[in-house]
Amino acid sequence: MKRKKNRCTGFPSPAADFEKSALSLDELLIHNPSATFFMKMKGRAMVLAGIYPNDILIIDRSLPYENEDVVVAIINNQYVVRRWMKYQNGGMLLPANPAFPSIKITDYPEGITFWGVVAVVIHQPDLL
Amino acid sequence: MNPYYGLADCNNFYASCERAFNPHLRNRPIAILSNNDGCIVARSNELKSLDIPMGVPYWKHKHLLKKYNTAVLSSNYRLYGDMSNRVMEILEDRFADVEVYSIDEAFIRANGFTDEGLEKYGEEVRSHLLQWTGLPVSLGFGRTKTLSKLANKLAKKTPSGVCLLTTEHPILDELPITKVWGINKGLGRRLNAIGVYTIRQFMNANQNAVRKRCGVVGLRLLLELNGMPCHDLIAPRETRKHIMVSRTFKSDLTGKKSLIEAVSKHAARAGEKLRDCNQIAGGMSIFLRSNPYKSELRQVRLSAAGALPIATSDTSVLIQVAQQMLHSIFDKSVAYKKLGVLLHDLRPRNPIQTNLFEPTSHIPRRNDLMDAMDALNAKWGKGTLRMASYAQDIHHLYRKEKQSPEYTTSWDDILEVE
Repeated sequence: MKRKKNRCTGFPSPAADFEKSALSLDELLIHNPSATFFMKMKGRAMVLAGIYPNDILIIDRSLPYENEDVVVAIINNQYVVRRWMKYQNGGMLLPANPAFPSIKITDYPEGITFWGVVAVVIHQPDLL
Repeated sequence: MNPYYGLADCNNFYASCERAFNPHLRNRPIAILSNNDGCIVARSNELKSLDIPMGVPYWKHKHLLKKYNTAVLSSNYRLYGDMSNRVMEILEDRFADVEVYSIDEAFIRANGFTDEGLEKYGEEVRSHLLQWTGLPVSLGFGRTKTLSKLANKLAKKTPSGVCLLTTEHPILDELPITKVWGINKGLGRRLNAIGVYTIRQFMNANQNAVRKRCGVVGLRLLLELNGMPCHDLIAPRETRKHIMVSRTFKSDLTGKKSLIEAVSKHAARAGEKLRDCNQIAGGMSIFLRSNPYKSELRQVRLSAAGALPIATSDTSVLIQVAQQMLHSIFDKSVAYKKLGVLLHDLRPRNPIQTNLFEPTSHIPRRNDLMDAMDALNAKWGKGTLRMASYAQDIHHLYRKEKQSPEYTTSWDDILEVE
């Protein structure tokens, strides 16, 4: 099929003046691309928070850690995703599944590294 | 108010990129190897202090590296490139002008700050860079590029990672002139000869004497150190003078067939680079080298160079010429370790200079073909559409045994979290 680039014959499209680019998921979900990273969920620690195995997490490292945020942290060189609960003496990383234990910050004297806040979870229902 | 110049430099950039994603690397020395796992091209701080030099062949230091429990990694340029883009984007967001100087360095210009204000702002930017990307970056500021480069070195040694160097700073009385960017040993000796040892002495030296001994380059340095800018930020995308694509093979190659494939692939890659900067090449050379670490084998360096029939960026022409050159120099009694294709005599793509004896009517169509090929490859991945002369994937010729995942550029490689 041969199509010339700058066609100027024929009737102009009545929509031409109203054209806008199509909807973009990036525009909706990613607010700060230079601080945004993706991870894949393994395990069922957060199922009651709606995060299932194989879900894709969009992490925005520019967001501050607020109480009750779902965050990614590093414990014993492992990346985990949990809900951050701040208490007066330290704080907890809580699972959203009764089968998993809560993580007390004070139980890890070598420290827990906060990596970033989970901003969005992408779930594909048939992918389990 | 005069602007400030700044230099942002990522600390141990390659090693820091690896550490940003792999917590197991946090307290271990890291060595990053060159494209073909040949040499050490980047080191973490621990290795720098262990006196393992840059650029040395990996196998020579294998035992020592093992002894120090060093993590040895192949270079992961897709990761480094993506992380570099993030750093540069953040800097561009925060400063009036940014000149990307290398993959891990950028000069910046900051307008309308006081000394204290700028230092505080720098600390804020540094902490954002660290939190957003995981990379530690040092920021040096001064009234000129030369001062900012020097300030950056000092910043690396301060806990805040930020340093603003004024011309009155007492450290300039102590630092030797060779610490200044652009003063090499030769220039240093010539300055020593006129009694100039410290930076302060150089700043106060007689301008005529400096000019006479060190030329206009030396005089500019003197002025820059005194806070008078002689070098401004350089606009991005300078036109290139030549394009080089070269690689070392993971094992020695003897067959002509595999060399032809490799030279075709290199020529094609050079063509892509050429079209990317909208240029055409008038000449090409290729070179072949045997393995210098196997002294028992015959050692040769072969090369061929010549003008292209017509200046072009057409991959099929580049491949054809590269293959002809290879045929003309190939010696079947040699085992080859390295091959390179160099394009020179580069000029802008338009207008095409025609040659009386070469037909040119096909050129616009060939250009469209190349554009279409580049667009397809950009959309669907490198090598989707390619010339049949290297149909076989020759990626296996190169060694990349210890590469980390492409955490930020490949869906198959993103981190897993529990």
